[in-house]
Amino acid sequence: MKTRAVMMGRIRRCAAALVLGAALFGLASSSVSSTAGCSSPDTSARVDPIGPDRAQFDVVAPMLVRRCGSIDCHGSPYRNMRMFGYGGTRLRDPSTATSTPETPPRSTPTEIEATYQAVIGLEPEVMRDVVKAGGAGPERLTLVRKGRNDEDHKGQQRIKHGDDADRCLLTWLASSVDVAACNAAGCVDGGVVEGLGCSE
Amino acid sequence: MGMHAARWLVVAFAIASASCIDPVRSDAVDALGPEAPGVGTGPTHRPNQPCLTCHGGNGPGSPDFAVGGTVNAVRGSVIPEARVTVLLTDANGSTKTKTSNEAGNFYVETREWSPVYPIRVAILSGNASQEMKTLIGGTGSCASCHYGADNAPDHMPPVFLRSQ
Repeated sequence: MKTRAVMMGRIRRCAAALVLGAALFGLASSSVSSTAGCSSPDTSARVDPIGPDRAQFDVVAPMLVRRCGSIDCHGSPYRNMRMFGYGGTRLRDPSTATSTPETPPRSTPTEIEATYQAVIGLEPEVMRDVVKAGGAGPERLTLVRKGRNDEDHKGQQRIKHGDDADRCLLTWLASSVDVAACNAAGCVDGGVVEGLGCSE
Repeated sequence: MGMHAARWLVVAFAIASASCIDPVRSDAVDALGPEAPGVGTGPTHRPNQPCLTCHGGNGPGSPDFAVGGTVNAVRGSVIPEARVTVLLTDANGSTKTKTSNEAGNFYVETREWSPVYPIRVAILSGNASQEMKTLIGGTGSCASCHYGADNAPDHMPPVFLRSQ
């Protein structure tokens, strides 16, 4: 009887050791796999912010600054997608004596370049995909959705589906900008002052 | 027992609500400083300050404003200009006309006008007038953009009726 009891005790201890071993093995395995899953991101990875044609942006910028770039909106230096130009925050330019929201009366090349970088850098990977697709699926861009107020936008609707501003933006994304639409939407009147005499 | 638990629940909710104060907005209100000596709260107080910091909803000012500002006589000055007509037009063509008071202040309450941005604005008095050449994008306080010194790259001087 005593021998049998000793044997049963050994069997129980052995079984317990097996269960413990299996549990430890499982824990170790999951630890290894989770460590692999949490590996650091590739620090060399880059998204090239390929934007639509830079030269064509010269006619798009006044429209964006006019519609979106007032000092209390994207013309503020404290907003994302900062825009610079007439009516908004100005960038000091060596060619101008003073820079105020109303002078000089046109956006400078420096300001247009800064606005371009802000626009294409907002969602560089999406912008790249839209440009590569020839402008197809522009609504993938937050810029388009918020401008149209299709996505909640503090500045409400600044671009209506199919209006001049919409055509200007979408044709630029497709790299064949509609200059007339941009000029109408940007209120570029005779190249004198952006916004003067514009009813929009 | 049920009533006791309900009381604690009300107290806990009140504490939680009090802790939801926006610290940024609270700091902005504090930054406005105290009232000017001899001027109590009311339509003539705090000219050239951003009205909607306090009157933009959720207090501490009352009533709530859709738009508010101060008209000054000459560019670069903070001399108030009274009885100036302020004409506001929203994106849908809805208009609202107000007149500046003796402090140069004017305001539109939200209960009388809910403008759709952007807003256009013009001010006129006698032969003098100014039309804002750009649009107001989404801020009802004139002084959010019109403040401080002239010739700054990121803001305009206080609202003025005459250029000089």
